[in-house]
Amino acid sequence: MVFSSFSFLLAFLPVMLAVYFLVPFRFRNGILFLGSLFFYAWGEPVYVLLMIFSTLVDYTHGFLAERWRGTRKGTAVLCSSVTVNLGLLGFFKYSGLAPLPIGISFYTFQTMSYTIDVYRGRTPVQKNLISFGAYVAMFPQLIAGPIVRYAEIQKELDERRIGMEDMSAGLDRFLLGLGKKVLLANSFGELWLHYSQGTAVSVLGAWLGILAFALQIYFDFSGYSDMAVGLGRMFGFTFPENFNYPYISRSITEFWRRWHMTLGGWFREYVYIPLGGSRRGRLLQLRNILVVWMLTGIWHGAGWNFLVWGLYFAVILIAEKVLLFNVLKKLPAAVSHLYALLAILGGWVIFAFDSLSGGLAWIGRMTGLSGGPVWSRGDLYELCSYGILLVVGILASTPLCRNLGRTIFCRPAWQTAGLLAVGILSFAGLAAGSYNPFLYFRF
Amino acid sequence: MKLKVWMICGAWALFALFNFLAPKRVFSEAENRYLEQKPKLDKKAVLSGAYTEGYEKWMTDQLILRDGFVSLKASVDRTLGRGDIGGVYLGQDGYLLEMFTKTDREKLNRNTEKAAGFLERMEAEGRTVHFLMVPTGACVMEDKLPRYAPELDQRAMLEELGEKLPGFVNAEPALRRAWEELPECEENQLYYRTDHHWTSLGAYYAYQALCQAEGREAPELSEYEREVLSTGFYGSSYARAGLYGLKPDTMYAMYRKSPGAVQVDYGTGEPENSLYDRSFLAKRDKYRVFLKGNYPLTRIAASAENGKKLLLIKDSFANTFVQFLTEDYEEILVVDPRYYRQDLETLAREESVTDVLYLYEIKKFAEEG
Repeated sequence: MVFSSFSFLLAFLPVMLAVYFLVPFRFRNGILFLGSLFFYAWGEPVYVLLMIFSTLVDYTHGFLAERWRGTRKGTAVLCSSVTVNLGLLGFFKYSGLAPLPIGISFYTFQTMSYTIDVYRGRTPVQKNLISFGAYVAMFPQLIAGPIVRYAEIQKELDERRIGMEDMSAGLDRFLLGLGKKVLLANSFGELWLHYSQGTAVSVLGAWLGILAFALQIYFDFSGYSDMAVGLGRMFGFTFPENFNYPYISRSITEFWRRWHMTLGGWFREYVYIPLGGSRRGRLLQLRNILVVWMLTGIWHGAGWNFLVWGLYFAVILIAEKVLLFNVLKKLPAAVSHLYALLAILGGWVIFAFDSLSGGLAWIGRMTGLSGGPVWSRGDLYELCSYGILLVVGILASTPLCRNLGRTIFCRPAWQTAGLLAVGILSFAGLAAGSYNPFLYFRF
Repeated sequence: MKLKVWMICGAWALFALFNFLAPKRVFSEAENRYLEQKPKLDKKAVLSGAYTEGYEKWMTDQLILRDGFVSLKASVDRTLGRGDIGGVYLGQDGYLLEMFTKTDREKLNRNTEKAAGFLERMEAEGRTVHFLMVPTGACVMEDKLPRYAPELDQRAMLEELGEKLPGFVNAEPALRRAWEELPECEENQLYYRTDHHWTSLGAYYAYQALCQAEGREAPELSEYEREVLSTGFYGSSYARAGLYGLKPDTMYAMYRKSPGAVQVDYGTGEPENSLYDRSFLAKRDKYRVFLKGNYPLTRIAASAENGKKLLLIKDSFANTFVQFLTEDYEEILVVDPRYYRQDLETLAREESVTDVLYLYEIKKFAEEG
């Protein structure tokens, strides 16, 4: 099930919330676990067994890791957990032998974090299988993150309070996230589709297209994260933030501190630092960056373009560490910002095309090397069609829009009106997305 | 804040409840299709994922106020400057104009060669041949298009086609002149605002152009009676855009003030004595009032007594056009090649046809086959 569907919005969520608040606290983890299994099984009726398997594996591994902490047996348990999790991920994601189970990249990373943290003594073991299951399967973050480490919500799993403030803030986040996804991301998606499928794309068109893709992927992903954080809050959990206005970055180093922060945090915690991070000399640090960003790349998918995408960022990050950082600091903000945006858009070109040749061809269009015109009448038409939305999108990816929103919607009455409007428009967007008139009188 | 939470949750819950309790629809008038029904619960469907997929579709199709939501989205998009939705331009003054932005050159060439070859052979056998090509509404009513609309240059295409097709008659100049000269009002519409077809008046100006090409004068406009068939016509473009609240079109028939008798046989063997089937006026697709829509072969015994017999090969634009031809021929064979599976040349010979007329809208001609 996805959040932006009517079966979630008008059936699952209302029922789930109602049941959740009606039962006494001690049953709530159980309800959350069962509900989440249903949520997952809705999209993956068979693979839900895989998730249950993964849950059981790390539940037992966590148990054993604590018992044998500090011994060789403990290390063996850790290795076994990592092997099983990465084995599952590797098989389903990269072998191509079976369809990809939804969310597997997210929940295997979560369960791994648990066993590793127990092994390292960073977090107590969870003895209650239901509570552990509720953590792994927790539907708000199950499908598209954020990647919540066990240690981050361990306390809330056993004890949490949900006040009016949480409900209010949760609703804000959820509805705004829904709006981001349905109203912004989907519209930018249409613009990107128009250009990516076009044949004679001009230089301006190629830039507009990749800009649309950048906005689409940001609002899609961050919208989904917002919905997750909002839902988490309504159910009593504080999830870590996943995005912090990545497009205002002035370097790629900064971008990766602001984009998909929980993934970056995960790799930092469990790969980069254990490899020595930056403490063992420049050369090893560069190696570590290379390793982490190769992994980050292939985490996103099995295509070669994702590996190249990761390497692309590794190279830029290394260049920034070695050379550019001091330069960037001295440059005017506008220049370093422009540099970062260009580097980000370059990354999206690699990311957006399954094949490297597709990405290269797009670069050719953007630079005019492919011999296309500088602009076309069609571009002006698209600018008229999407201009306002592009401006809104660009503003909404900076803190400016948030601050403005906070000033305008300072009163709860205004907030209520605004949120209801966003909700209604999002429903309209979802309904229109499925609008499919049958025109038998056309052929 | 308490109030805010209760109001939002309350509104949400009420909406979900109404949505759950509301009677489910079987058919959508707006979308002209059967809506998804609740899937049956069985093990196989559940395991394959077909059940949940069907359930999602059912929830989406059965959303209460669905048409209103769709229209809301369309009007918001229009307000934000969007130039088109669902393949139609959101033109000025409530005009919804079908887009024609790209074409498959190879297919167009293939169709052109096929038609040209056929017409040449017909001409060689001593028949009078014509090809009347109609531009789309967007080409004629350019001034209603959104800014920078990426339309194909239909005028250039028409000129190019004119060099390849024997007996070519371009309807564009006549329609354009009429569009520019006539004052803008309901009864001067040449194309519908909410449908991609032309009106009877639009067809009349094309008929004038055809007569001119044949070296004769078409009857004056004033010699025709106009019968209003419907004042509430919403057509294909309206359905495609999903935008509510636009003015409906007026649809009318045009015939000479003393119409001669016609016998129309749709292949049933039971001729009807009218070109119009008014029963469609109560239905959704009112354009089918003209010749009941598209039939493979319609045989019309017309009112002229001149020994002329016409083979009309056409798309749906011709359905409005035929009302002007009934006094020019003794018999008209109306063939829609999309449904007529037999050989057209054989038909022309067996029926001793004297005249052949192709009538197509340029977009349909380019996209057929």
